[in-house]
Formats: sequence, C-alpha cells, structure tokens
Amino acid sequence: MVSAHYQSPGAASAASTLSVIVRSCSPERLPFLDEALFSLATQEWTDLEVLVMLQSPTEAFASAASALTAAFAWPKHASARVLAVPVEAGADGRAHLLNHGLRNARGRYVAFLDDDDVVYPKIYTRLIGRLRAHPAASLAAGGCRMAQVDDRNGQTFIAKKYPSGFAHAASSKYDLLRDNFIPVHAYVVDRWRCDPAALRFDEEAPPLEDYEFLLNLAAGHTFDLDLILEPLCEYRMHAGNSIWVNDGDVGRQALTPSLPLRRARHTMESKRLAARLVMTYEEWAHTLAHRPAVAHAPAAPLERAPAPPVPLPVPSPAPAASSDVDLQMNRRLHQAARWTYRTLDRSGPLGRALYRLFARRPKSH
Amino acid sequence: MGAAIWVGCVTYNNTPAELERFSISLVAAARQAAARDVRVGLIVIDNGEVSEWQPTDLEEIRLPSEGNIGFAAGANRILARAMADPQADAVILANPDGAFHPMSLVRLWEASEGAPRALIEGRQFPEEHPKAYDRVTGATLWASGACLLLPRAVIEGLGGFDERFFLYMEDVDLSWRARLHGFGVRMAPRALFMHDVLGRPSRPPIDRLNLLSQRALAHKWREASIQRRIEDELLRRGFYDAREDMPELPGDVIEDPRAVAITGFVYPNHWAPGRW
Repeated sequence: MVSAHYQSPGAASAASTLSVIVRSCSPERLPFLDEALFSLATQEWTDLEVLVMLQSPTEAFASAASALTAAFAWPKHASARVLAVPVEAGADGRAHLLNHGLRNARGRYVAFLDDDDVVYPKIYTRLIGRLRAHPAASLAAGGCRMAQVDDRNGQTFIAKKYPSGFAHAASSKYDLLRDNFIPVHAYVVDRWRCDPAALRFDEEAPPLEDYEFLLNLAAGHTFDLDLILEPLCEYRMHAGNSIWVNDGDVGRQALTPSLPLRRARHTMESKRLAARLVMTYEEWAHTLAHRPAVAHAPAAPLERAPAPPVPLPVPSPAPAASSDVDLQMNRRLHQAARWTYRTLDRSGPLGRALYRLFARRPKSH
Repeated sequence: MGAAIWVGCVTYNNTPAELERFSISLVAAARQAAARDVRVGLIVIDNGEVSEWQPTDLEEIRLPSEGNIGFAAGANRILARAMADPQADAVILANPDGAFHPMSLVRLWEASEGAPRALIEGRQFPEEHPKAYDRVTGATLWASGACLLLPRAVIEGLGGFDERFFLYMEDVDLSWRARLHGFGVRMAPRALFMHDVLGRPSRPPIDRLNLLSQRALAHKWREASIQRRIEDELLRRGFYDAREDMPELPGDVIEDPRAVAITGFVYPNHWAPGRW
C-alpha cells in the first residue's frame, strides 16, 4: 500500500501541471484527433502539457498532426508537443505510446486521451479538485458518457448520446475485479502519490492495457470515485473503433467485441482472478460517507472475483418498450416535418402557391 | 474568398478567464480566416459590468452599454453597427463563454458561400444541441444563437431579432421568420464552437426567463394551447400567482397561414426532432 507521497519525477515538474498524453495510431483518425485536441485546448484547467504520441507516423501523418496541434489557441500556460514513437510493424503500440508519454511527461498530474474520444471542459478542474480535497487519493475518476458517432465521409456526426456510461451509483474500486468501468480518459493520476513502478502500461495487454493498468494501480492505491456519475468525458463508438466491431449501421447499437478484444479478455482473466485489492479503513469510510449508494450495494468481492467473465458494459439502447415507441413516433414526426419543411422552404413555387391558396381563404370568426 | 465578417459578442458579467479563452480562440480563428482572405473584426456590447478584454490585433469596436437590455436588443445593436460597414458581408454572433475552433470562422463562411441566403449555425461542442439536421445539406428547423452566422441579406431582410424576447427563444423565432420569408437555416457541422452547457444547474430566475420567452414565442406564433401549457408551468413553479400577473404580451403576432408548417411546437423540448 502506498502511504508516502512520491517526489516529482522531474525537476521541471510543477505542482499544478497536468500532462495529458494523447495517443494516435492512424492518419485516418485525424478528424477525430482534431476534436480531441479542441477539447483539450478549451479546458478550464490551463496549466496543461499536451503530448501527442503518434505511432510510427509517416512524414505526412506527422506533418498533419503537427499542423493541427499548432493551429489551436492553447492557453497561456499550456504547451503542446507532437512526438513520433517508433513501433514494430504490425504491433499494437497503444500501451507503448502511453509509456513513452509517461516518460516524457513533466506534470505532477497525468491523464490520458485516445484520439477518438473527447473530454469536457471542466474535467480536469473537477478531478484535480478531488485529488486536492482527498489527500490520500492517487487517482480521481469521473463519469463518462457514451456517444454513437457516424464518421463516414470524414464528418463527425453524433447519431446518439447516452445519458449514462460505464459506472453506476454504487460503483467502487472493487468493481474492477469484475470488469473495467473507468475509461482511460476518465481519470487523473497524481504521480506524487503513486509508486512509480505502478505507472506503467503492460505492453503485452492491448487492447486491455488500460484495464490492467487500473487493476494494478488499484491494488495499492486509493481511488477517489466521488464524481463517477458526473459526466466529464465522452467515449465515442464508431465504425473505426479498434476494439469494437460495428455492423455498419450506427443508428442501432450493434457493437460486438473484436477478436483482439476477446483474446485480451482471455489473457486478462487470470490477472483478474489473481488480483487482490487493498482498501484502507480511511478509503472505505470516505466511500461510505460520500457515496451512500455503496453501502446498499451487494458486498464487494474481497478475495475472489466472480467466475463468469462479464463483458464490458455497453448501455442498452432501449430498456423499455416505450423507448422504441418514442423512437418510431419521433422518426415519423421527423419525416413529416422534413417533408413539410423541404416542400415549403425549398420549393419556392409550390410554397408560394400554397401561401396564395391559404391567403385567399376568408378568415373564420 | 475575399470577405469581411464582424464577430459580435454580447457580454453579461463574464469572467476574465472566459473572455480570455474566447479572445485567444477568436484570434487563432481569425488568423486562419485571414489566410483565406476573410477579414474579421470584433464588436462587443456589455449588458452587465464592463468586460475586461485583453487587447488583440483585431479591429475592435466597443459599443456603449445601455444596461441589461437583453440579448436580442444587444445583438441588434451589434447587427446595426456591423451593417453600417458597407464592406461587411456577415455577422457571426458568439457567446462569450464559448471558444472558436481555429477553423470555425472559415468553415462558417464556406457554408455561407454555399447557402448565401441562410442562417448558418456552428456546431456546439462538446455538447451539441440534439436537434436533427440534414447530414448532406445541413438544413435544420432552427439555429442556435450561441454561434450563428447571419449574412447581410438575412439581416436586412428580417431586421434582426425580435426584442420582445429578453433572453432565450429569440434564435428560434429568428429562424422561423427566416424560413417563413424564404431564407434557409443550416448547420455547419465542421464549424465547431466550444460551449460548455452540460451540467449547468437549474436556476429559478433563468428558468423563469426561459419560460416567459417560450410563452412569448407561443403567443407570437399563435399556439394558444402551448401558451396555456407554459403559463401553467409558470404558475406551478410559483413564478406567478395568477395568469393576470404575467407580463403583457405584444399585440403583433404572425398571421401568415404558412406558419403552422414552419414552427416546431410539436417538439416541445427541442423545437425540432431530437437525435437523443
């Protein structure tokens, strides 16, 4: 269990600097990266160091990512760098990118962001605020919403957003023994309060390296989950997701785990079953005091995780039949409104003819 | 390209941090616009305290404050000043608590060039309005005033906002009037404008203003049943004791029979079909 505060890993590390490590593996995702960087450039927390890690970029990819990053209006105290990280051809370098970012990061606080996700403007103010208010905590996590994105034609079209994400009112650190409920961009780590050995992503674990990282960190560090239900970031599902397979119709919830994800889950199973999490009395008391729903939740597993693997939670599209009805009604109304709108607004002669027809009618009294 | 655009901003006690974020984002976006021969200036009017702007290299005009005259009235002062510039092609109204994406001014203007007689709305980010829009044309039933391009043709054709709306709904009304008069209303999905609206706490004075504006909208567009429902809500929330206590509504209403096909009262939450 970590009880002492670790010193800053570098002399340049400032007490309030947050390093955000952004990873990007493909030039096809530059439109997504654009929105991810915009979400960082407009943060309330302005003492930022943004590190954009590119996996074995071509010259064109590196050049485009650099131009994109340089174009943003970064806050006065912020800096942004683009780093090319060589990765063996064909390898999944996502863990390697994060580790490389961690080695280069100068901030006391550190956060991560995938190029296809976004964070909300208050996330770091809120999470660092939690870390400062809760001196024992090494990690503070917030809530994450899910969005279904159609990225065809190079445009980001948000087809749907879901009100809830991966966590629920009674989510606690112990739930990591069941499955991961904290996406990689939903938390901030205080490096001064962490065992440096724990701040490393297993490069054999992708695409579940983020789960392995959290499970490992949770074993000996206190997590603050007070904001786990407050939406502070967005997990975007789209056809190009590397760990989910989409049947192409983003209008419906049709995502299934990809083969690499299923393989990684198999590998993670032994680690999950072997994991032992320690919760101090202080951490437990804090959890009960701040999130009473935990007290009413089923007892958290102390020694063994439940045997059957549970898939990563994906929000059900329509828990009640009424939602389908609403959806159908909405579609019909939309179609009717669109027809009327197009007819009257775009078809000038027809619109004017209808207007004349109505205008001639005597007013009824 | 070759164009002149005024960015208009109505402030109301915005924090220096908000104004700084807005300001540096505007400068970055104006730089991209200048590279495409689009000249950008800034017009500001304070509806609250005197705002503390950091100087920029943009041409800036500070209009004299007239106190808290409401967003619609403040925006109209900006539109009038901008149209006094004979070279001005359009005005982009933007909320000072937001921030421009570096390419947003360029993309708004590009969208306007493609639909020169249309209001063009920037896409609010990261929490965009859930109202539906046509993915191909960007056509939508109304455009939010949080980041809105108004071309000269629309400003001169409609005369700006209806000042009976103190706050809220003035953009819905403007959009409906635009469509009624043959103008278009479009969304520019690639023109991002950061506007952090998620999780804003409900505040009774603001809720009251919002409901009053909805009531005025329903009255103006002759939707008596909707007006009555909103008045019921004002009574239920305890903002008024009786209907008679509510502010008097102006006599002029939309008589055009096409209005029924224009308005979005069938969608009481978003005034348009929602995506979620």
